[in-house]
Amino acid sequence: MKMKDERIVENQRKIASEALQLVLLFLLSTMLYKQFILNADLADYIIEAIGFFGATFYIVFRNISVGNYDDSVKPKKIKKKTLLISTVNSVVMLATFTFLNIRDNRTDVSPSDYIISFLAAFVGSYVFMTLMDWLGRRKLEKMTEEWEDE
Amino acid sequence: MENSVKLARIKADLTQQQLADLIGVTRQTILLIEKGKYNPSLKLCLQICYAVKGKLDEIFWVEQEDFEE
Repeated sequence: MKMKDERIVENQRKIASEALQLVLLFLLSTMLYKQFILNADLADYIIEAIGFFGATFYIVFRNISVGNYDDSVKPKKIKKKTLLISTVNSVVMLATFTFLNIRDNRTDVSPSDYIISFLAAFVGSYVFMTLMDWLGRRKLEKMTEEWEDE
Repeated sequence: MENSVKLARIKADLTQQQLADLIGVTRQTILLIEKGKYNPSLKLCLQICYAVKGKLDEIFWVEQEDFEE
């Protein structure tokens, strides 16, 4: 019988998962450093952006496709969490927008631009998270039906 | 891996959702364990045994000749 020690396999998976998190953190740091500190063009950090967002979306969609969704969480709680995360995202977006305007000494930005940037980030986050939640729930229902039929 | 979770659960008069809630997993996990499509950890096996008031060797035991990797 081929030796396949589950302790070793589990540890290897854990290490690989930690390494992925480190790589993602490194990619994000590099991207932010190039964008905000070095004022680099998008072309200078596009590879990091593709790597970071590609891996992030891969993680999200793979989790959905294998049915890693906890449908025992009440919709009210999910809605609350979605609203909270969307608010945090919009505040971060607003802070970034403000930082860039101050750094570049821009005087042509009106208060409505700040409101629009906040709202756009909020709606974008909310719609994306609601869509992911709906996809996760739908996929799980479909898989449950299949498993029950077998 | 084959097991008697479904039988033990029905004997204990529990639905999949009730068992799942008792041990803190999703109903789908219970469904997959019952179908033999997910191998639970020893900790989860024991939690199931305690929840259905069954014994580990009765619910999860597989004879050597039926055991497959």
